Amino acid sequence: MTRYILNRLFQSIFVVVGVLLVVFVVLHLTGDPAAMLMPPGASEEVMAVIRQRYGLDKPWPVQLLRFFVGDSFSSPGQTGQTVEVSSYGTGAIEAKMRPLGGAIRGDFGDSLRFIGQPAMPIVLERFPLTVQLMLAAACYATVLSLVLGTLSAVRPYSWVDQSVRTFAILNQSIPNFWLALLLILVFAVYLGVLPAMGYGGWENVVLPAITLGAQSLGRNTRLVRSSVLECLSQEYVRTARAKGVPERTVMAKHVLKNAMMPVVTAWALDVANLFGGAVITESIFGWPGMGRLVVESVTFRDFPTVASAVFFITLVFVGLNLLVDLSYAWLDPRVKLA
Amino acid sequence: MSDARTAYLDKLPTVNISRRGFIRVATGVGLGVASGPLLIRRAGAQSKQPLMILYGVPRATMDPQNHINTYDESPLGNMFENLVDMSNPIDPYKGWKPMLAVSWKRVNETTFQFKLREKVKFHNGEDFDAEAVKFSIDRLLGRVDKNFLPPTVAWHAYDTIDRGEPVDRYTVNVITKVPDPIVLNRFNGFGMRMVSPKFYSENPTAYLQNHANGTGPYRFVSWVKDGDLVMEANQQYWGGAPAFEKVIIRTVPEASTRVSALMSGQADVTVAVPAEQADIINRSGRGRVEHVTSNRFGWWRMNAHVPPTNNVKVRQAFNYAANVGELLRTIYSGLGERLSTIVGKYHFGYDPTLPFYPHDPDKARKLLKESGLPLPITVNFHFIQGRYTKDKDMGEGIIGELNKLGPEYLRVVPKLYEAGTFYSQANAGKLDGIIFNSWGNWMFDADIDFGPLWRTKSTPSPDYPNDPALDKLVDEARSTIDEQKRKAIYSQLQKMMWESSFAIFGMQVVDMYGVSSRVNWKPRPDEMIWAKEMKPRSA
Repeated sequence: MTRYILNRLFQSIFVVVGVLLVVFVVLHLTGDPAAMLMPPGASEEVMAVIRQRYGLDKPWPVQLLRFFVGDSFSSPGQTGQTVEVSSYGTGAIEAKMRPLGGAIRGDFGDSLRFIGQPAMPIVLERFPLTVQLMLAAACYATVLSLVLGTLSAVRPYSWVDQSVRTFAILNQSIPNFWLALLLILVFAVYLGVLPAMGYGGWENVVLPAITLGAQSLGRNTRLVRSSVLECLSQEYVRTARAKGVPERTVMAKHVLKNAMMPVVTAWALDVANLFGGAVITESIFGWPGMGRLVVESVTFRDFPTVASAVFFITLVFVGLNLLVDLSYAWLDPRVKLA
Repeated sequence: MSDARTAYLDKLPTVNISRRGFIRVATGVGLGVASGPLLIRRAGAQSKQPLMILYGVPRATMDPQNHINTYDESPLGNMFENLVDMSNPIDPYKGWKPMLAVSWKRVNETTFQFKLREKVKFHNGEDFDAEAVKFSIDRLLGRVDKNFLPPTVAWHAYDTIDRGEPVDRYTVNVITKVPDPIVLNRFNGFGMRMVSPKFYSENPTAYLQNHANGTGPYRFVSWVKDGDLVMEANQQYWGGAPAFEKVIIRTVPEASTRVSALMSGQADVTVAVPAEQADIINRSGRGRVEHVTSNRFGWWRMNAHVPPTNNVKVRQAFNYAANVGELLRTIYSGLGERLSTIVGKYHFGYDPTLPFYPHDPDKARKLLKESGLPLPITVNFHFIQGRYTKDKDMGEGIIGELNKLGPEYLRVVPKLYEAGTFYSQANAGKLDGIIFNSWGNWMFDADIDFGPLWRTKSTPSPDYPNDPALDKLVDEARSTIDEQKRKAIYSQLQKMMWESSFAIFGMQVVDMYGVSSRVNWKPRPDEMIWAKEMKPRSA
């Protein structure tokens, strides 16, 4: 068990490093962040100061090294040096490079969009809002899919089953953004019962959660249905019924519990989908979560913030996957980890 | 799993958690965490519904001296003030009106004097006086904090200013390094908003990016990055307390959501209404669309350093073929105003006498033949989407018109970007051919149209072959105090640009705002959305 965990942790390090490498390369290929910070008209002198400040003037292998290990093994250099800028009011400004902690300390430097503020805390500040949205969506999808899936499994091929399956397929196939706009139109504009956008109160969570949960609601409903159907045909169910156990007890004790396993697996896989969906959902509903932060930061070429966010999300994923794998052993005594 | 392995596992210390217990606890925790946020309600409902203003792009800072974007400047204008303000409609000759300064006069070529409004206080109780003006100038020019790297507007918009010099408590002289005809204009915001000496010298940079302290009609309450900026009325405001007690500025990137929020009564003002949704709003009875010809204008510049656009006949041919007038009629439903220059129509020095290039495809073909280049000519057309009203549609329209010259003459390669990539490439000077450009300036002066974009010293290298004659004229106009002389120089400059056809001349952009039925408001052309100018409609 311990060895299994250690093994998995060791593998995770490679995953994280790989992801960071991709981020570094992609962001450095798509343009000069200094050019983004400066509107047209900035003199070359000023651009040089900016590049120096953010360490963008260094050769890329050095930048890559700083990115991973920060300034642990090298002196930041040029600290406190002032640069004469002739076109500027006062002449001298500091092109001081801030020492970097690097990935090993979770410090990718100051955000370029939010001037003078370390990027990682900004990411952490925004994370809870996205988690709130994801949890609400996951709960809505899980509870509803259990109810609907069971209903349609108990009466297969009845009109209940047909309508549930249609509902599930619709949820799975409607694009997120379109569903969101429809929900807004119906519940905010026509009925006026829920807000069209924003965050803060429970009423703000409803529409984004329904939007975000749609995909997994559709998939999980069908999953529960087939899983329950399968359990219903098992011999222990027949035995229980033969013993005269009330139908309600049969369902609750014998069927549903055993049907839960695939749903738990799916739920873990859903987390990744929810993260992806959150980007679109947050943009449509004006929800200031992490998905929005990543999009805005990419647009702005806010390299440190993007790197911090990706790093953090990767860690969360790796951790969650590990937890899910471990939980199988507890959920089902037949599962052994090796 | 082998038995040996199992035996080994048996020896390991185990944590005894029963399966049922685990499931029970996990379910409980999951439900608890998920429902927690749902149970936390907002603090007590407002007695008066706050004024809700929606933007499409988020704020980057609360520091009025540390940004370069209109969408930062506009919200901050509710909390911070300038010495002067521009009337609506804009008149760059006589439109300047008092704000924190009550009067002004030129003392000599390099000295400009402001008389300040008396007894004005910052939100934290500090007094606004000549020292505060001096401090604001010093801070912008990096004398307060060596680490404070002001945004580039400071590098070219304020590089003539040397210092502020208090004469007495409410009189201040602004000393310039060279004779500067537009000192007054420079005090209309963007970095020259007045900040309080104590608050802005005692707090660390990061704090100042997230908190605000000005003299304006609204006080800072809270700000969530990419979320809400909340402000409350400043009851002691020198101009009288504003009508709405609480203002929330929220960012909603999706235009349809903004429109829905307006129609459901959740929002009061929204920016950038898509033209095709204007009717829906007007018919809904919940709000209306107000449009105004913006101070922002657009054109498509042509890189004169590399072929094929380094050939003047080719550039002229594109202007004859682009058919901008017709495109404006169809794409902007006749709302856009065509330009024949790269100076905005609201700006000092704008020359209205320059004719529009007529739509003449035959002449365009003739010019392409005369250019001496092998036909067909291939040219890249770089443009973006989602930044300004109909930017992509206009770009596609022009590409279509140019291609109508025929494949034996011209092949236009469309290159559509997202804004971030576009600006980092464009600002690094990496684009050839035809390049979309838009610009606006808060000083309403041709100097800010020419200086940063067309002088040889500009970055990226400007798109005309570095021409000392043009540079000389731009610099001359910058340091000429005489208005008539300046106007003449700008006319001459615009004529040069027109003849050399350095750009496919474009239009003044149209701004479309959605306004709810409970608010009276006429939008300004300069993209400033200020709550103090909004009044409740008497029910």
